[in-house]
Amino acid sequence: MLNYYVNTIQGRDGDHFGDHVDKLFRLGQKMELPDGRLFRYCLAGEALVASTLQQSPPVAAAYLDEASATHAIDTNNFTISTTASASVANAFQDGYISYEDSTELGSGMFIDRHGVLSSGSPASANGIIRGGVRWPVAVATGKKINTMKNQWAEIEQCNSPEQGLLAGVVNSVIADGDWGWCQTMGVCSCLAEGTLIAGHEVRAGETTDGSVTAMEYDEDDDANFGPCGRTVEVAATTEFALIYLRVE
Amino acid sequence: MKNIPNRLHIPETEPLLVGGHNDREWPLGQLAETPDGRLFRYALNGAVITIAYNLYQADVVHGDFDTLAVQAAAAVGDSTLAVTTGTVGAVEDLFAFGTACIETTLGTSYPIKSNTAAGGSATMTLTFQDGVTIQSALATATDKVNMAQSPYHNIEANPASAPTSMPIGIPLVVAGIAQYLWIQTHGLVNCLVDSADAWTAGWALRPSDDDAGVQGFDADEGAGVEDSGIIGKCLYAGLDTAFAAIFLTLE
Repeated sequence: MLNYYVNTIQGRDGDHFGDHVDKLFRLGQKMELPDGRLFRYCLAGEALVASTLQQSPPVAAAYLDEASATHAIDTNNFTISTTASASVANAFQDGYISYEDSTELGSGMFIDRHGVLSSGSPASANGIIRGGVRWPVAVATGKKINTMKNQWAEIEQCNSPEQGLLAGVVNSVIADGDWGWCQTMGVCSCLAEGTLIAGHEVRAGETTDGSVTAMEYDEDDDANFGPCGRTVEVAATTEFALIYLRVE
Repeated sequence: MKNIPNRLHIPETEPLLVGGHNDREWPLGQLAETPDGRLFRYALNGAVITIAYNLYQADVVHGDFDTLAVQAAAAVGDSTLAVTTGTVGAVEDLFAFGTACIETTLGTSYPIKSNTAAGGSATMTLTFQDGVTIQSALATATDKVNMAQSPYHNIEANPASAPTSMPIGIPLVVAGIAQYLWIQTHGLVNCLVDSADAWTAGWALRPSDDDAGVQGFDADEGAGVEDSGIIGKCLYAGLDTAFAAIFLTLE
């Protein structure tokens, strides 16, 4: 079965700029511009500086490795639980719920909506899986579930090096709590750290938040984050270089 | 030029058909995208029932399909090509949706629609995909052809050792032997974890050399295991032999 509409928004040049006070699209909605650059719809977790690398906030440990409730096969509801942290309704909307245990086949589903998770130990809230998807197997009590927000929810300037998944580069300022587009692939301007070499790979900077620096595979630990693009046009450190971004 | 997108736009339920498809519904390797931007490829499962949320690799191609001789000269504009097999024969359409890679003249690659069955050291005729024709004439005496199956043909689980073929994706369902299914190649997905060593959020991941899962990428790990390259990133530290959410970037 196919959708009647293309899942990726076919944008025009200029659509990627701007700051939206109201949410216009689902978090993580993909947009493609005529030259093939890709963007994802994001929520700013702080005031975002243009042409800097952004990351997802670290996944909250309070929502990992929690006990599940029972759900029958072919149902579409789930239960978020936590023993440590309250949450407002739909804080995890467009996020992801997954099971750790092999008997549940490692199922993972996207979250459509859920209720308020009040403080308590344990606390729980019910929710609905997105997109008409239903559990392929019954879910049993006592299994371990992980709940996480969408990768583009509450994004923040990338640490040096990153402390969460890379979200991309914002091309214009997005105010704290507002919505906008974050570039994930294609040519873009980004803050540079150190000496970049044209054609060589880059990764998140290691001393300057929001920057990219040269990727060196024989560098301990920092190299393990992997590259996030290649240098197109070099720039001096603390200035803005042109890179071919490859977050996705 | 075509008027419709080459990429299918599918709902989120489409890759979740348990058991797979008995009959092929799309070309092997057909690309599809869900509303949240995840990418999938249409694949044929191999000889073992798939295990959902494990990492899969392409079928290991027999080395006897390399450097095949051109059996009959091919002229510019021809839509077929005859080659002589090596010691190993080929069943009909083994190379459907695969590629004939010319080792010599201009190195052109030709997508294959079908092939005739052939025994060892026999003539196998390749028919190219519609609209594809020979771009530069091929001679019997000098030109050689490397045959490549579709990487989505007869997929198999990542071995409990260094990968022996290209990592190809993660199935979201159990599919039967020789069934067709969608496998995920890009985006957020749960995957079997091999993490005897602790992960760091944001770290790159590579195919495990221990099971059909993913493992943290260590650029200077040594012994060549890191050479299998990066296939995604981790969101948080996963538990060894359990499942954890990763961002897959096979394409």
